[in-house]
Amino acid sequence: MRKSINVTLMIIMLSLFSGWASPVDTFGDDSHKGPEKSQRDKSVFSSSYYLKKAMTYKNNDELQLALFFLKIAAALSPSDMEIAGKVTDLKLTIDRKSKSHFRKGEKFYSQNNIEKARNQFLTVLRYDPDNKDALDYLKNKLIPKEYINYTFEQNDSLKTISNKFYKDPELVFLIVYFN
Amino acid sequence: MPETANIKKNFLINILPIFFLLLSACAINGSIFRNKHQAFVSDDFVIVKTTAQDTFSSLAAYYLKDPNKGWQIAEFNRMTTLIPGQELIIPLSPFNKAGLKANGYQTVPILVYHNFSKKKSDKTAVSQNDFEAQMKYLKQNGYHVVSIDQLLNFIDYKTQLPEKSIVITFDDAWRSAFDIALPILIKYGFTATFFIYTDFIGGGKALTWKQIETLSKIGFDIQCQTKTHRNLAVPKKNESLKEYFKSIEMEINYPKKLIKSKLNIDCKYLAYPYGETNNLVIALLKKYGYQAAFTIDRNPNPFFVDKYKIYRSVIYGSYDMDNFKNNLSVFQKTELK
Repeated sequence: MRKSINVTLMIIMLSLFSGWASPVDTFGDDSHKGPEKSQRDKSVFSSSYYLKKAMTYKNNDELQLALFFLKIAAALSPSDMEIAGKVTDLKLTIDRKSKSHFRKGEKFYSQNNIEKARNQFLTVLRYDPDNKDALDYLKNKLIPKEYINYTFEQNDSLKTISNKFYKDPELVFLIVYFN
Repeated sequence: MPETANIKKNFLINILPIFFLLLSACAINGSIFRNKHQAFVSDDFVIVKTTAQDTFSSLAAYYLKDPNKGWQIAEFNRMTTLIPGQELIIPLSPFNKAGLKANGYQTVPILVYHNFSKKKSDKTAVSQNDFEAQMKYLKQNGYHVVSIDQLLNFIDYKTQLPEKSIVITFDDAWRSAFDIALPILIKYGFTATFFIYTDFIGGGKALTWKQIETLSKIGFDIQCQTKTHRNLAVPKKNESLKEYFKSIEMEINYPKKLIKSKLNIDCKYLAYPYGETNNLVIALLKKYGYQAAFTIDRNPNPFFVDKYKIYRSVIYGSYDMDNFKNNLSVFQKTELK
């Protein structure tokens, strides 16, 4: 019994000395661990500094960076309604600007003005990096295709289609190969 | 029963203390090397006050789980060196995947080399000294040499690249690229892609399969440049369209199979001989599973480039440093607002 008590005591001592399982909330260089979400040092950082940075970026029309820094300020001062309001306003501005440039891009595209359309869609993506429609224009619609999609019509034959598109009925083998 | 009790007792006395000793040792070791930061961590970013032990690379290793992403922290904070006690923002995901700014967009140049010579240079053969000077210039001026895989992730709008990114490629499979260029690439820690045309391999001035295998094993990228290096875009004299079609199909398919069988490498990219292509070639490349192809049109690449017409700039032996620098443009100015 006495021996068992000694063993138990030794375990407790070892744990205390080592700091094992202690609740220290610091970040080490043991890269396998990775950071955990922590509010611990929030008071060390000033939201006003990030708010100021956000306003500078906003004035320079770098709206995504402005939003990023506003979100930092909001995270540091979650009860500050003024910052929360600025976040909402900026999101609305981003939405308005990206929609306006998207409309312009579509107009240029319909006029086959590819260069100007591309710049408008790039501007949309700069304001709104997750805009899938602008990305679709930039990555698909504005890049010339090496094929044409054609729906088979009544009275069509492979030879007539070959003649229609290649001006040569003998190139049927290409249509057959790729279909 | 008493025997079971004995086993339990022995376990408690002998095994458990050793287990806890080992566990404690690990914990002590961890605490010695801990690099205490004042930090605020959210889902999208970390704010950290740096210590004297920090580097961009060590911060990236910890917070982004990739020491090679130190540039991401440096570029976001627009700084080149760390000062202890400095407040830094670490974005936890890419913050500008396409490199778009109000005054333009990011471009990535791709350099193409062919042959090399020990001393004298000529039109396509770059001298050893010139190549060394060019690589040294890239290193000293903060260029990040990235792989084609990394470039394709940028083109696919998946990941961000460093602002000054560049790709290095070698065409044809000249042995001099192995003998002269390779030691210089290794010296500067640069990666590169070798586009090989398979009929050339094993010839007098060409790489051998053994050398190509070595290149691959030490981390260089091996890709296709057809079988015979014929111009894919132009039918030969007296070649019917059917014969031309069969020929380019073979040029695209055969080297892919050969490289797979010799090196167990899947070719994903192709460099067009003479840089030329057409719609039929591109359709065949897609059919045979190529994900991108490279011309020699002298331009740097934005993320919205056509993946089957990616630009590259040939570096000739006759180039001086000014000619070389003219091919390193990493930003295209245009108003995006």
